[in-house]
Amino acid sequence: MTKMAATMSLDVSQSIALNRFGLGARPDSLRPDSLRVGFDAKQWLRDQCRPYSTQPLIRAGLPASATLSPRRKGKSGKERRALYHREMIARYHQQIEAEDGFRERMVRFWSNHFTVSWLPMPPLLSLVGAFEREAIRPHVMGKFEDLLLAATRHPAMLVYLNNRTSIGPNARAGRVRKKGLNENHAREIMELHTLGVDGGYSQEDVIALAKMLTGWTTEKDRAVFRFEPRMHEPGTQTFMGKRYSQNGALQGQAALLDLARHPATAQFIATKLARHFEQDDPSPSLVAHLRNVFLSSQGNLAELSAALIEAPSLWQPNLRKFKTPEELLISALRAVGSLNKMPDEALLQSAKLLGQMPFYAPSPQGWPDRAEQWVGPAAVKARLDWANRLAETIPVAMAPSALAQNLMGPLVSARTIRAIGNAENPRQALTLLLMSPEFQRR
Amino acid sequence: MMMKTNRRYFLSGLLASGAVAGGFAPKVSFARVAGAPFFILLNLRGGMDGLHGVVPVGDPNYEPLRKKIALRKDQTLALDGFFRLHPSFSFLHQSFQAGEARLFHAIASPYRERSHFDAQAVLDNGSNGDPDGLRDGWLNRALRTFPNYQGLAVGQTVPLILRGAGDVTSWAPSILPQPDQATIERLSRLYFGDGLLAPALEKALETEALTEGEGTKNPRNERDSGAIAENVAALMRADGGPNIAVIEIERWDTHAFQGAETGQLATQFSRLDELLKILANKFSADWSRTCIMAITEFGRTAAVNGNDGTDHGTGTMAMVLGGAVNGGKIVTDWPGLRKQDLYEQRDLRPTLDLRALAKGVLGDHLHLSRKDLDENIFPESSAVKPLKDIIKA
Repeated sequence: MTKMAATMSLDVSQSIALNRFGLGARPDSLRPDSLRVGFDAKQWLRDQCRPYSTQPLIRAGLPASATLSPRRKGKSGKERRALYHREMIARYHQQIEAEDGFRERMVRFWSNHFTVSWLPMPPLLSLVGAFEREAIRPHVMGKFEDLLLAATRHPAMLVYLNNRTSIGPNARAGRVRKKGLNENHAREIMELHTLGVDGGYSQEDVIALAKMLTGWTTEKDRAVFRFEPRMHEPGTQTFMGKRYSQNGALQGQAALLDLARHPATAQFIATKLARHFEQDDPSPSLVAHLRNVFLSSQGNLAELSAALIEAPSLWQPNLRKFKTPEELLISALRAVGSLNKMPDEALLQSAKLLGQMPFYAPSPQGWPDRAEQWVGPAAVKARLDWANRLAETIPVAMAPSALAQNLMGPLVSARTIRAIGNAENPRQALTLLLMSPEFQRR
Repeated sequence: MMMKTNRRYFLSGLLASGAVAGGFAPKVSFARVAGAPFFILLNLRGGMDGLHGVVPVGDPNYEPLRKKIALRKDQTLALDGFFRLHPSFSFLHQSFQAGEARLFHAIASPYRERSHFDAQAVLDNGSNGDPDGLRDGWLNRALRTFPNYQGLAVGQTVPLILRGAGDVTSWAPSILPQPDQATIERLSRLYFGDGLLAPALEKALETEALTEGEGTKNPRNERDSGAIAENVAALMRADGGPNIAVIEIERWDTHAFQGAETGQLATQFSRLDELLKILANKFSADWSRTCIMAITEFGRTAAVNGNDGTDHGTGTMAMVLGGAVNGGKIVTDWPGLRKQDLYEQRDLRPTLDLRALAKGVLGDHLHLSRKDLDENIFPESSAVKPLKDIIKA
């Protein structure tokens, strides 16, 4: 790399690949060679459409959920918080330093699609990190049905949506313990994970699926999936017009498989993906295309990701997506060049100040993906306060106006560059960069 | 709660000193009508179990349905011969007896499915049951019929119920040092023409300026009812402050172990009761023109479920409280709790439309016309008549 090349700007496609598909550009001195000036943006993205060869975070020494308890017992609140902290710090490091930003974005997308949140259940603090590592990461470039099954079976989800304690009314344990069905998980699988709310299911279908999933629980003291026949509602169930007469866990599994392949699921997933990458109200043609790819590939998520890369509307230079707080946080820390400049404890503090603590979504629906749900006055002011504080505490090597061009290339306007260049001091310049209309969007 | 330790560096010294306000005072270029009514809406997110709040102890089917989570008569507070109040609602009870709280039962929005998210959309958009029917909120449509009413969302973002073309702001405590005035001015200039960021920043600065006199308190956490109530009062009572506010309260989705006299839901009720009490205290000087309304997206199953909780249902309770309220009454056309009385044989059957309640309050408290209410605030709702006598004449 010559010195001149190091300050040359990205072209439009490269900027879009890094900022819209990825988690944000890093200064080019920190980019690996494949991402330096001249890289083929689409090829760089295509290369990420394959499963991780080695799972990231493997070296972080984080505990598998099998070593944790699914219940309040086992660890103190303080220990659980400490573990959550370690998990999230490792996750931030992973995402701030990642070279495969597109695949990491997909991890975030699917993790939010299959939301687990410790908000109503602090004991989940210790399991949410493991949930993403164990149920989401291995499948983001795999098959949707495997992802659905892994997320549904994971102890964190079984706890969060109460399936762990759901018992068939006619199961042995149901008759003895006078306990029964909990329909929460079954409803959210259909409404939020597969068909979507308009996917054509009824209250009877919710109950039928809940019955088929009875017995999907965890071991008592270890957060490991276990099928418990004594909790399982016996007999054939009619679900979405089809009879399921399988025994045991195979019954629920068969139902999940059919849900994963249902056209309404294809439509629902296509809409969410298009909303995430194109615009809040995505174009029907992109949705239809993604839906068809989902159906023809039988939910192959690598093919679906590749279809996104080939979608012309995602390569238009206008910035139509407003960053969520965590997208802002991660892209800002990638932009300032070195994570080490921000102490670990400030990462979660930042997420909290910005209004998006990881795995703390207000409901099983996950974090919203529309600008209107993030752009409240106090939210924008919180971003400003935070950016100002970041600029004050973290020195940046490059002049901010050069940095802006380096990060966003032609997607940053001359007006913004001028405003940054004319700033009174480096802190103000960096604040203006991070708060600029272009950096707040992707 | 995890933020107690290791504040050094990024937040160093900020919290200890209580530094909140900065030196930047933007012009307050408007004046809200002095003496305008105050209206505070509490949105209970997650589906609040109305049968657990206003308890139909007089209904013979209540206890068999609720089994382990049923409340006994001697555990509850007296309302009338048939209904009693959950013991966590001591302030609400006192207000009811003082004629300042009115309760509603077997009430629901026009939504009849059981998705939280669609139910919340209908509750907020004020449509005739269609979650995607309207993209702005009924309270926004209501406030924009007045030239200078402003709505306040407590929290960083604005919920759908307040979203729209009307004048709305949001407020959340900021614990970081304020950027200097020059930086803010330059950013405001940079945002010129940006339809999203420019209005948001402008509103935020306007609202923060309101707090400069009395100052605001940082809540200990999001459940700190006292600090939330104090902040709402400080903002709304400031000169030029908003006169309509929405506070969202989470955690009503009690699928498991909701408890009875004590427990998960009792704690939620206490928190709500505490919020009502502090709001009443902080608004005492303007109490006669204050009305607080609490609503939720749906109720829960009439029967207890397999985990001593309740699943998503339909009919539930609502409440209105304040010096402006003509209270001491329970408004309901009780549908009964026999299996055949229940909606789809499982939920409390709604016999009262939430829009009738909202229309009654908006009509008599904010003085909106029936035509506006029927056609604009709640479109296609002329068949839903506003409830009478909720607000004192």
